[in-house]
Amino acid sequence: MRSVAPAAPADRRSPALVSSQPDYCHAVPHRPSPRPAALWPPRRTAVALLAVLTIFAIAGCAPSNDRSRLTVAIAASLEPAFTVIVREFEDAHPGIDVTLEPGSSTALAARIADGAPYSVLAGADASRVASLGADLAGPVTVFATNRLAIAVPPGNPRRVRGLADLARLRITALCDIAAPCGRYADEALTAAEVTLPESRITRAPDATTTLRAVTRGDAEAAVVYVTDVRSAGPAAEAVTIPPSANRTARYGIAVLAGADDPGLAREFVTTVTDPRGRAALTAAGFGVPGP
Amino acid sequence: MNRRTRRVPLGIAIPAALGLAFVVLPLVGLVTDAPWDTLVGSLTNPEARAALRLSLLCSAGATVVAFGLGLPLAWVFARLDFRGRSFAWALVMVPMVLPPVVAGVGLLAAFGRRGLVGGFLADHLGVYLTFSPAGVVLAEAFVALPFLVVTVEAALRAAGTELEEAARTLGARPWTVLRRVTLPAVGPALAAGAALAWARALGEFGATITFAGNVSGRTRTVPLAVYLLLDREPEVATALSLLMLAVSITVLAALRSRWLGRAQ
Repeated sequence: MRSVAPAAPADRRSPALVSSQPDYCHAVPHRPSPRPAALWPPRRTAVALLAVLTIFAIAGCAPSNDRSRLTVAIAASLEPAFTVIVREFEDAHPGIDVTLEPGSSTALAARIADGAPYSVLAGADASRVASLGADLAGPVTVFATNRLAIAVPPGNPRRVRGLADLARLRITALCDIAAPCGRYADEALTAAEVTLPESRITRAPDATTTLRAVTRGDAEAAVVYVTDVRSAGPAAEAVTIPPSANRTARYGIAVLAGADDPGLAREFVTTVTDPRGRAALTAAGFGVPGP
Repeated sequence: MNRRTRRVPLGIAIPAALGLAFVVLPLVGLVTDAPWDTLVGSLTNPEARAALRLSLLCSAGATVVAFGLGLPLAWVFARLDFRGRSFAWALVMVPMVLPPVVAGVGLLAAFGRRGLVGGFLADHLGVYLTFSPAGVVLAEAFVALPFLVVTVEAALRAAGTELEEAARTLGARPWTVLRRVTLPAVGPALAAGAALAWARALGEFGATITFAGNVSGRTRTVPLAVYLLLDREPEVATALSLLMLAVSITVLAALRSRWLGRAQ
């Protein structure tokens, strides 16, 4: 219904215009209807709110708080392998809760320099980890290696065979050059003598989010680590980059000076570098240096 | 003015002061943290300039889109009464409270290459919205639209229908009424709504990076550049943050008289 209906001849002179009383509220024939303040009556709104909050409470407060914590900052590409390692570590250390903090190795290192309360850092570039210097509480151990691959959507619709094919794509996802995976990708492209204009590159802060541009978004290819493509399962396919252009990422792990329980942190590092950790890393597609 | 001389209970004064400090401290931090001596150099850095240019263009585009779609919506909500109006109103307000990243996921599902509408656009018209400045405009307009609608709708309700009706009884046609009576009456609200929508579009981050990606010069707006450059070139990121703060304060200052006027 229109709030102001086309006036019929009989009531053309609306009461508001002829009335001597300034009582517009009652005189105006068609007032705008009240603002739709609440979709539901208050009681139903309260019930719905309560239901939502309950879901949050159940989802968020399940783990008990009386366990001690170990927070491990990791390169995003390490997350699948470290999830397995953490499960084993927690089984072997009842009462210990390990929290993984995945991200760009560069951003994590910057946060640690700013005082982030992490116990261990496992980064995709051992020399970047080593550069933390005084923030480290022990030596940096190279515990895994990784190679780059081109990730494409299932079925490889644009028929990408190598780095040179990226030049004809509409959009390629790369890590930001601040992150190790972005620096390696740029080196690989240079080695393969492929130049991509920046207007055809979308950049994400770490390897996982870079790959997501292919698996969830519209990017036609991404240059990420071999292990990232493997962990994406059927959502992406890997196109191999030949060794001549490829780069090897050397992952470094170290106990941090800010660790609450340095002994426990050292035990975690040992788990990563011992046969159980090596098995989990190999299963995820990482190379492991000789013992 | 006698409100100010009234004694304030400590139970209110202390938390109120803390609240003020809570809001002000991060702003002070931005100002003191800024590399003042290299500020000009940071802002004229090519990456920063490209981001600034893109942000200005896209947020202006988003404001135009929000205006073009939001003004008719506001009119419909303020002047028409129809079944499901409050439900439709709530739907239009959703982007205001939705986490922007979720908005980006929704935009992908609708306008992405494999999306509901995006598939058709790409296959038949060759139009790709993702990773393009048009995608940025879309993402920004999506989150900015509700701000324009609420502002203009409130003004239309406050203005009432008496003048419109008078014009109608004098023989004005609906379009003339809209153009000569309704819009001039809510002119300041149109400006305020556009300013709010523009500020929201300028600061948009989550929906943009999720839907439009992060392509230098094409979709890397100022907030995305700040996020990315924090690792790479922190001085440039801080300089851009400072500029965004200045813009926000300017918008607030421009709207100040309007808000103070309403509060009294």
